Amino acid sequence: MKTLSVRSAVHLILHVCVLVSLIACRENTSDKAEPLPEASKPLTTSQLKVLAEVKFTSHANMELAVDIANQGGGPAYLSVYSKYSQNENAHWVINYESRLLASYMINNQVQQEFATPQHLSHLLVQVWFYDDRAPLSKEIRINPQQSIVF
Amino acid sequence: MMKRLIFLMLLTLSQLSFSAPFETCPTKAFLFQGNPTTVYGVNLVSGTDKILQDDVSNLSGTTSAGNVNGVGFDDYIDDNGTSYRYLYGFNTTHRKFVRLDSDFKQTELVVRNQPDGTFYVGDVYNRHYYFYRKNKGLYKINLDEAAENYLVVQTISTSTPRNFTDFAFHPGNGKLYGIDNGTGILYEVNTTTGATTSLLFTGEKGTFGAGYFDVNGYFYVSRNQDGKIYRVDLSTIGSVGDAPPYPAIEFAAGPLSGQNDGARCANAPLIDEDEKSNIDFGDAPDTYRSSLASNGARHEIVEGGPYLGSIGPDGEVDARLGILSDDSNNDASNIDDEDGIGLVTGLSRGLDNTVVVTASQAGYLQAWFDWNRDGDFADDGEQMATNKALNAGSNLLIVRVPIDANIGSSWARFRFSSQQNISFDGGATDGEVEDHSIEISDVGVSYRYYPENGSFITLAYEDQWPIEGDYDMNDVVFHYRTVSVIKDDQLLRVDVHGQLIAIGASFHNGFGIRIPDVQASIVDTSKIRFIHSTLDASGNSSDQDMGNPIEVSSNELVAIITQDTWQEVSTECTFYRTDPNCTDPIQFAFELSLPFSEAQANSTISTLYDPFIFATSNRFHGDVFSTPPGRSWEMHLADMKPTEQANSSFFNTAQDTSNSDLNRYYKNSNNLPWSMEIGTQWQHPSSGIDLLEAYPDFAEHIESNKTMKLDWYHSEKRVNGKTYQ
Repeated sequence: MKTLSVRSAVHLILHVCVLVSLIACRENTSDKAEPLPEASKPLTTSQLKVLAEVKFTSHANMELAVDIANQGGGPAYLSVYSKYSQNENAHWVINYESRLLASYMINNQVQQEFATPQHLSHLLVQVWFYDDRAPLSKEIRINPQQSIVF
Repeated sequence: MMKRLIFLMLLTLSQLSFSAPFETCPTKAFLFQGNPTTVYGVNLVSGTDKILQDDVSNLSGTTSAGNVNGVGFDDYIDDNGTSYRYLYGFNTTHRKFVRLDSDFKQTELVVRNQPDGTFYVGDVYNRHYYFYRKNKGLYKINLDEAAENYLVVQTISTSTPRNFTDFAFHPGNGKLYGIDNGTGILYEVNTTTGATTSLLFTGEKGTFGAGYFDVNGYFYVSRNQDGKIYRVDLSTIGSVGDAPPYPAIEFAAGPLSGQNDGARCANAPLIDEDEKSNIDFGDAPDTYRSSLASNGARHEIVEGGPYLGSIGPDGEVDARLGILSDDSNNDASNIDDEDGIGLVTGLSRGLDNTVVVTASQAGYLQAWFDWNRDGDFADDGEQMATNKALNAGSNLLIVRVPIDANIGSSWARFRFSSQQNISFDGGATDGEVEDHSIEISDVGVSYRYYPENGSFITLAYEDQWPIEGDYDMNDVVFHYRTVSVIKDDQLLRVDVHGQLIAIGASFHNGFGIRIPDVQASIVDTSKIRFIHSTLDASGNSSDQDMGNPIEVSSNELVAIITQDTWQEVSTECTFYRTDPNCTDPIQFAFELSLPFSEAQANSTISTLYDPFIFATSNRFHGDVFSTPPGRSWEMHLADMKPTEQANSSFFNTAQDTSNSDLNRYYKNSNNLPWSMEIGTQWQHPSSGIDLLEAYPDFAEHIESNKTMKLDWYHSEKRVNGKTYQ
């Protein structure tokens, strides 16, 4: 709640503008999202019209299945990270505070559903064993369903 | 003639610079060692030292500098602001009293009534130099040039049986303290009579050749034999309930010497708050010994020195705990340097788990895990790495989690240095300490973090519902993170972490979290963890256990984080953190853990669960309500249904077009919401700035049904000057 008079005046002007633009574009208004003509692009959020099913959240769910049956078995641990890079030795340098999923792996496989922020496009999947085997790593593109076989 | 004049001027200037007093009250301690004397500056926080002067100059009429001992610092400035800050001591070689300037050059003080013999113990207080020798006497010399007895030795007592090798004045109560080398007993010395009062055994013996105080009343003694610096807490001595003994706690490792004396400006803090600190502290809760007051783990930051991870440690005046810690502080200026540890296999009981430790260079690692979750690292079996040699780059530490470890959230501490045998507390001369929040679990458990384990998304609310707001999306803003703990596809526990980022409204709103389709009765209340972290007006953080947050009047599980967000902050601005010209630090964070006594169905696992705001009781919430609506007014993310407490008559009024038959809630006729989740730690718009004005890409994003401009909320997409930060 605000009581700023200047802003109210701005709003009044904007509402008049909206009214004018809506009258001008009446035939184009519908529940379908269509690009607005340049001259009619909304100036304020209140002028936006969106589909009823749009969620005002910023995440998407993802199902990930990982299979390590070809790696000799044994208990293992799966992690999924969002911030990482590869150095000149092709070694993955991971920000361990970017973990989205951490899961003990039973019977050489795991299937998990988790959420990712919508701006992410790729993730790093890494599997460590509870012995001296080197970890398995794979970069994946974010899809609603993703399967990996190491 | 001209050459002669210039020579005289240079000579005069030279003498002036050599005889200049100290301009400030230094934080470093001064350690005088050897013959001829070398003067060291000692950082008592870390134990590091460096030579300040290796030539204190020959005394007039002699051919050597000799040994300067019994040194004290006179922190005196006259009413006109003229500094008389000098060091005073006794030259044991030439048996003369001396004054040392800011360049540590000595000048003889010709005193009257000088007693025979030599003296190794001295300090300055209230413009008097006090000096002492066992079985010889306690004396003082007036240093006030205006006094009639200036530089006259006065005998206080000749009955002086204590075996002191240094003593120091407490800046708070003006009393003199020393530790007897033979017995390790701390004594208070009456400076009028010379009588001593025992304050019992400190727990340590040895030749304590250097003693210092800091402004808070901590007494530091340096032991000649091993260089160890001990701290004796006399900060509350004399107050009600305070009583001896006062144990000497090992504080840091300093330089050792057979011949030691120390002096320090007792009115200085240990770390200068006006200068950039070069000390790195841990940030686990203070029960783990993190703060300076707790003799917390700390390392001096040395150029080219070792550290963990790829980001060097940042200097801190004291440990940044609670809301200020790197783990939880979301202010834009915060640098999270806790990047050297990866718990890549989790910490499952009974298994050999792998920890990846990244080191900047070779050094030694110490690591502790609080397996029994009792708030310390002191129990048997909690140190999991002792002097483990690390190479530059990635190193593996194998940690076997005890089968009887206590399941749940706990802490681990990693200390990396060129030094060995570092404890979980105390100072170190280089390196870094990283404290990490950990999860101790059973085999088979998985964790889903949203957005991830080290960051937050943003919840932004407009609070005028059902009246359309102004879409600056900052009436209530929280950073928010969820953790779902899962086993066998069932939900065992929900954790939520959050921070109050902004309040851009005058309405008073509470904040709660509903766990949809989970009954309140299913929570194991004996294991609930609900912490408020707050920052007071002085910048001090504190954590408070808030008990049980579950709303008793609801059957479905609802946790009330706060009844009124305005009660959690204080500001001199109109609003809280919405005006870039009137800024505040983040002042409120919370941590909630809701463990269930019975595992819940997979369908109850959620990304956000259901965070919502509600009106604070008995507070005006708009003209649309004839009486304050209180808890019955709720506002959730769009299409999230209200809780049992909501008043359904508020729906479909004003601009709201909710329809419960369609599971449609909190939207207007344009399908616009009153609140949003933004997938990062968002820079929210300033007060009165429309969302589109600050983030123009939002229009295309939302009108394309979220297929375009997915990164519309990133900070580089904002319009400069339109957001709070």
